[in-house]
Amino acid sequence: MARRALLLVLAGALGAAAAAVGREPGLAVPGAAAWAARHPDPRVVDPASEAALAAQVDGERRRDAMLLLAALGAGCLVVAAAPRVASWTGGAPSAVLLCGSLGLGLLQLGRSAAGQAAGMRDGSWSVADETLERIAPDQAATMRQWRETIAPGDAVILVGSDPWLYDLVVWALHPRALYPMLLDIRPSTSVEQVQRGARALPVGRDHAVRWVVDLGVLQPDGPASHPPLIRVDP
Amino acid sequence: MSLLVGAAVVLLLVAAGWWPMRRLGAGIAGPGLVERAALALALGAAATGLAQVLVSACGRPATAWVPAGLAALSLLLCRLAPAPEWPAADELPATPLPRLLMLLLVLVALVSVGAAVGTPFSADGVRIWAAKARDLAASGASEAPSLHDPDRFGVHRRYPLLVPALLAPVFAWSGPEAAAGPKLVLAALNLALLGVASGLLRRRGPLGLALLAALAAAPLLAGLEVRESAVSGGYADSTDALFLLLVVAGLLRLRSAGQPGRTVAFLALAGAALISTKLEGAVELLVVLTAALLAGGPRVRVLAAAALALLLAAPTFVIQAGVVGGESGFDPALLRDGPALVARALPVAAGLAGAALDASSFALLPLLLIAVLLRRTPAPAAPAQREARALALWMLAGALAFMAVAYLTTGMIPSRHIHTSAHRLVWHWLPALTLLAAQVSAAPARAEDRSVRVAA
Repeated sequence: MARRALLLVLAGALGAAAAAVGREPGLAVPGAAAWAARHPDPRVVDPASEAALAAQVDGERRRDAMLLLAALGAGCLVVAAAPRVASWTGGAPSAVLLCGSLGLGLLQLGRSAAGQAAGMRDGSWSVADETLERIAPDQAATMRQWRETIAPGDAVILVGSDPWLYDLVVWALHPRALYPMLLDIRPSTSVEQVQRGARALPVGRDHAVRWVVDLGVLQPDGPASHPPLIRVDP
Repeated sequence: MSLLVGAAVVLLLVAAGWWPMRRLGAGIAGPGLVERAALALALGAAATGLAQVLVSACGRPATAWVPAGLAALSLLLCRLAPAPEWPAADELPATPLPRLLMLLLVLVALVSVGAAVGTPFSADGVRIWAAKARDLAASGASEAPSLHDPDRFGVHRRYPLLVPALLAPVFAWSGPEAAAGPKLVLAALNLALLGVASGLLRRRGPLGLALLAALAAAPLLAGLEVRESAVSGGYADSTDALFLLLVVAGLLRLRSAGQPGRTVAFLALAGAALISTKLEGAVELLVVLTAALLAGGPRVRVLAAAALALLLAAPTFVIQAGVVGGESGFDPALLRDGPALVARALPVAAGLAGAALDASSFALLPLLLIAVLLRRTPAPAAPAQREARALALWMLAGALAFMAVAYLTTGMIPSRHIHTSAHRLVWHWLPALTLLAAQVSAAPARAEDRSVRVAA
C-alpha cells in the first residue's frame, strides 16, 4: 500500500515536472554558455550558426526531458495500478522504466502511422517508382527537364551550398559526373561571366560537355541575371 | 516495380543465409520460423555483402548474380550437407511469445516498413548510402570515379561498402529515382535485428521478454522524422546494430558451444560484416572483443574469430587503401591540446549524456538497461551471468571512451557532430546491451542450463 501511494505521488510530481518543462522555450545545459565564452572551441568560425544550433539543441533537450518525465510518470501510474508488472522485471524501478518506455514507444508508433496515413492522403507517402514529386514538388519538372538536356556522359559543375538542393541535384542527376564547388555566384552575374569562370576551372574537362548548375538561382530569393543551368563548353 | 525488386532481393538474402543459419546458428537462431528467417537474412546479408565487396574490389559492378548465386549454393548445401541436429541439444528453452508482445512486434514491423518504403532517401541517405550503391551498380569499387577522382562528388570516400553493395542490384533494376525497393532491403535488415533479438531474448526468461518489448518500442525503429529514425532517411545504422548483436550473441555462445569451430565461424562472419558496414564498426568490434577478453572469455577462440574476421574483411581494407582524398575528419593532436580539451569537455559530456537520455529516439530503454545491469542479483550469480555483466560493463566503458575520444578530436564543432550522430552511435550498442542485460538477469538455472547440458 505504501509503495502504491509513493508511486502515485511520484507520478503526480513527474507529471507536474513534465508540464513545467514543457512550458519552457528550451532547456540549456547549466553553465554551458558561460563555459563556451570562457573556453571557445578552436573550430568555431561562425558564432551565429553555432548559436542557432545551440537554440535548436536546447529545444530538442526540452522535448526529450518532457517526454522522459511524462513517461516516468506514466510508468509509475501503471505500476501503481498493476503491481504484478514489477515481478516480470524483477523490481518496481525497472517496471516503471519498462512501462514508461512502452507507453512512449506506442505513442511514437501511433504518430508514425498517423503521419504515414496523412502522407498517403496528400501524396507525400507512396511506394511508386517516381520520387521527385515527393522530394521537391516545385523543382521536379525542372529536374526532369535537366535529365533530358544533360546527357548521362556529361559533366556538371555544381555551385552553391544549400544542402537540401544539393541532395536533390545529387539524387536527380545520377549518373552524370558531378563536380561540387563550394562557392556562391552572385545572382547579378551574367551568363557570359559564369561561362568564362567555369571554363577556367580544370574539373570535368575529360567529358564531352560541361554544364554549370547554380543552386543559388534554382530557388532564387530575387531576380537573377543567369539561369540555374548553363552550358559551359564546347 | 522497385518494391518487387526489393522484395526479391530480400528473399535471395534469406535463401543465401539459410544454410549458414542452419550450420552456424545453433543456439542463436530463435525457435520460430520468422526468427530463423531473420537470422538467415542477417547471415545472408553478411555473406552476400562480403562477397559483393570482394567482387567490387576486383573491379566488377555489384549485380544480382552474387545474391542469386549464393542463394542457389545455400539451397544446394541444405540438400547436400544438412545441419546435424536441429534444434541443438544444448539450446536454452524458449518462452512462448505473449500475444500482446507478438502484436507489438507485428505493429512495429508494419509501421517501420511503411516508414521506410513510403518515403524517399534523404540527407546522408542520398549523399552516402544511395549514392555509393548507385555507383557500385555501374562500376567496381576499384574503379568507381566517386572513389578515385578527388574532384568528383563523393562523401566519406573511406566508408565501407557492404550496405551499398547489397542495395546496388535493386537500384540497377529499378528506375532512376526509385527508392522503395532499396529502402525495403534496409527495412528488412531493421526487422532482422528485431527477429534475431526476439529469438535470443525469449530464451532468457520473463525479463528477456520485457526487454524485447522495450527494444521493439524504441521510437527510432519506426519514426518518420529523419534525424531520429533508423528507417525513414535510408541510413545503415540498424544494420551495424544487427551485426554487433550477432557478434555479442556469438561471444555468449562461444564458451559453451558444443562445436566451437562453428561459433567461431559465425562470430568471424558477423565481425567481418560489422567492419564492412560502417567505419566505426571496426572500432566497435575491437571494443567488444577486448571486452570479451577482459571479461574472461575463451582467449584462443576469441582471437581465432578476430583473425578470421580480419581476413574476411580484407577486401574492405583493400578498397579503403585505394581511395583518394580519404580525409579522416579527426585530429588526434587535439588530445594533447589542453585548452581545446577543456573547451570540449563540457559539450561532449553533456552531449553523450543527452544521447543516452534521448527519449524521442530510444524512449527509456538506455535507463532500463542501466538499471538492470547495475542492480544486484538476489541469488549467487552463475558464471555465465558474471561473464555477461563484465562483458556488458567493459563494452559500455569502451563505447563511452570511443565516443568521447571521437568527439573530442572531431574536425567539426563537437556539439554539431554530436547532434548529427551520437544517437545513431548509441543505437549501435543498444540491442547487444539488451541481450547482455537479459543474460545477466536470467535465472541462474537458466543461465547455467547450457553448460550443464553440455557437460552431461
